[in-house]
Amino acid sequence: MKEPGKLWNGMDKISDRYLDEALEYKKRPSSWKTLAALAACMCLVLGGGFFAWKMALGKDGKAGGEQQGQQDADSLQAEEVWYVDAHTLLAGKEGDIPMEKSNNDKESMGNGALDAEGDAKETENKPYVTIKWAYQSFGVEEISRATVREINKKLKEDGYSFGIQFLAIETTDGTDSDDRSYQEKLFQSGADIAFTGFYSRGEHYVEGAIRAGKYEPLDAYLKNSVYYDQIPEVLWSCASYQNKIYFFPNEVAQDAGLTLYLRKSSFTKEEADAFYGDLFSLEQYFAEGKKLLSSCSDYQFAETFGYSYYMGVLLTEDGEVVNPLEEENCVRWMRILNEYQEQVVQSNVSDWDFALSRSFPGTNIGDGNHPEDFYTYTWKGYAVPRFNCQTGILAASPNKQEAFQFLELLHTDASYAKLLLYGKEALEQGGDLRCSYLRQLISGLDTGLVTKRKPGDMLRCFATTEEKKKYYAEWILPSPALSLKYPEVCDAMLFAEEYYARLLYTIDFDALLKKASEKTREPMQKVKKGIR
Amino acid sequence: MEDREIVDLFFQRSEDAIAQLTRKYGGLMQRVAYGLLQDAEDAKECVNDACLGAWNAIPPARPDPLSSFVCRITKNIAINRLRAKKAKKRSASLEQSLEELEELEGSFPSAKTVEDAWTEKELTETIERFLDGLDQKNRVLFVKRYWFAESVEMIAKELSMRENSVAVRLLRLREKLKKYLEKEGFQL
Repeated sequence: MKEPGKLWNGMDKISDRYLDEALEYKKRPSSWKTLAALAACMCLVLGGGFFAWKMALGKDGKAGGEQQGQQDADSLQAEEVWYVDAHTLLAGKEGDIPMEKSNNDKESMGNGALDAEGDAKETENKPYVTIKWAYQSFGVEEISRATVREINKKLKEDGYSFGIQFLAIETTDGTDSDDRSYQEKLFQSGADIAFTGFYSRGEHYVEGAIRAGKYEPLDAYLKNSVYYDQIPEVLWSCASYQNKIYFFPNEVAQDAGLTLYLRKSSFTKEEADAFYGDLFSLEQYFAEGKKLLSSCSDYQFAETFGYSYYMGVLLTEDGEVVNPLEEENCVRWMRILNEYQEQVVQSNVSDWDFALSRSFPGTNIGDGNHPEDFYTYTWKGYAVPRFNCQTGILAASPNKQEAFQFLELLHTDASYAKLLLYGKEALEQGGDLRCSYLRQLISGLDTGLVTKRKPGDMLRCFATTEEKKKYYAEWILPSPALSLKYPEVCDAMLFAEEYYARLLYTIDFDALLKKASEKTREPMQKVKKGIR
Repeated sequence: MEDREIVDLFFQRSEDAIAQLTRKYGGLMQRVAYGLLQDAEDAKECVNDACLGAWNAIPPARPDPLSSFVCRITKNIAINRLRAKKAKKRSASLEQSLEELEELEGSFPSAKTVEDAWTEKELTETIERFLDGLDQKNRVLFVKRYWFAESVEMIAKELSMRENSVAVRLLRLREKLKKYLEKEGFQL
């Protein structure tokens, strides 16, 4: 490995009190900040474009997905729980230290967190089958027992032979180790319906679990389902792996592409009308001293050049994989941002003049921005594979049919959806119903479509299925990543995103670019080889 | 179990010491190891070795708290393992954090004489004074990046910040450290 320098070695010897402080420091995020922290790993692409006045020229979308062979035999297994065998370790045996699986140790696995909420057995209305729905509890408010009882009561009254029970799998701080821990506990929970988890990009727990046969393909169930036709086909592709559908695409999967926001108090209508999608024409505004809010922390802006950005690489419709650090337009745009770095601001600054963002800016910092304050221009977006924050059915479930039936019900019957989203207590109180975004993820619902309520400022809300399908047909292209057998191979390049921020602020752009290009050569070869 | 009680078990040479240590800090050690090694099997072996290292060190050491003690052992073992294996697969975040500090170091002059060059101890003490001058969040951010070698993505999640904000802050902190070291007359 590269040998550390003097500074690294000096840093290595700092006192334990600094390490302890870092280990102990936990900023408990508010639900909003949790969203911000998770955005990086959720590949969240959210709507904007309230006043789109021009359409991008964009290319016609091609249908993705050629027919591939059967699912590969699983060579990758989800990680198993392990602990150190102290006796053998201390006996000083040579060779491998045997690792023993945890024997359902409740404490180590946190089974104490798997409290059944609203246990239907406690009620008078004992359902025939109890469907268990497991989710990662970090940051998600509890689903009250009263709510679950109400859902079960309604199910019985409506003639269904099943009830529901929620299993909150406890994780504490939303870090990577929690994500890993959730995955381990999920498949030992005995759940029927599963939230796939908030895991970080690059870990690919869900893809590994699919290959290991942990999730049930939903194609056969959806064939006769009214729900299938409600969702644009491209979103089903996002929820598919190797040509089988595994999840119900929720609104997290909604893509709307990048939007340019020009503040009306900083730009004239003529200037707004003169913009036709050429990112480089914005350079003149930097020269005038205007400030840009750049909400992209990666190379998503390459979509304005016609690429689909996925996991660190740019994909062309012809199936080519391009390194963003060696793509001429990307480099040119990053160089411009570097030159005007003093005018490229972050979300904690409110006096910006224009913004490039996947979601409506300003809701993050509550600075009082409103859609009517801006001229906007939206580029077409790409729908990419998504496996985190999705809802599926576990293959080991003995109640798959009932589980599917319940999920279908949630997605088609607003009365059930509202109960789950808002809770019995809020519905009884009336007034302005608010549902946390995390609860929406757990529910796996397209809340606008089902409840006909605008779920929040950040999310696009479609009044009807037809409106949603029309929007997608016009604005969203299927990413070439959807056609890849193993889209996760692209993540060999995911680390390139770290160079994006560094290039923006470095004092020696060319030197760092050269270094970054060199570092990405080998991973690029890996990606190119892997996707063939 | 309290750290003090676990350390007492080590002093009693009870095998339960290892079990209690891994029960309390196994996840943390695994995280530190995996973050550097990027290989689950290697990380497991590293944690094993770290447990053995703790067994050999305690007594006479009586670490308090135990968390940073085991992190240090784990990190050292992981880095030695990387060296020994001449590992091609390395943690990207480790490489990046090494590079970032190297870039900073590159701007300093080499000492003309051996006597002028700073010792590691002098440098560590100066870095500690620099850290003391930061607010807690920035200090934690700096330590997570340049001691724990955590990725920008992981730090952003842990501290509920945007990745871009983390990267920018780290850049500003490196610039600040540079100015501080210049003022102190740092020479390589």
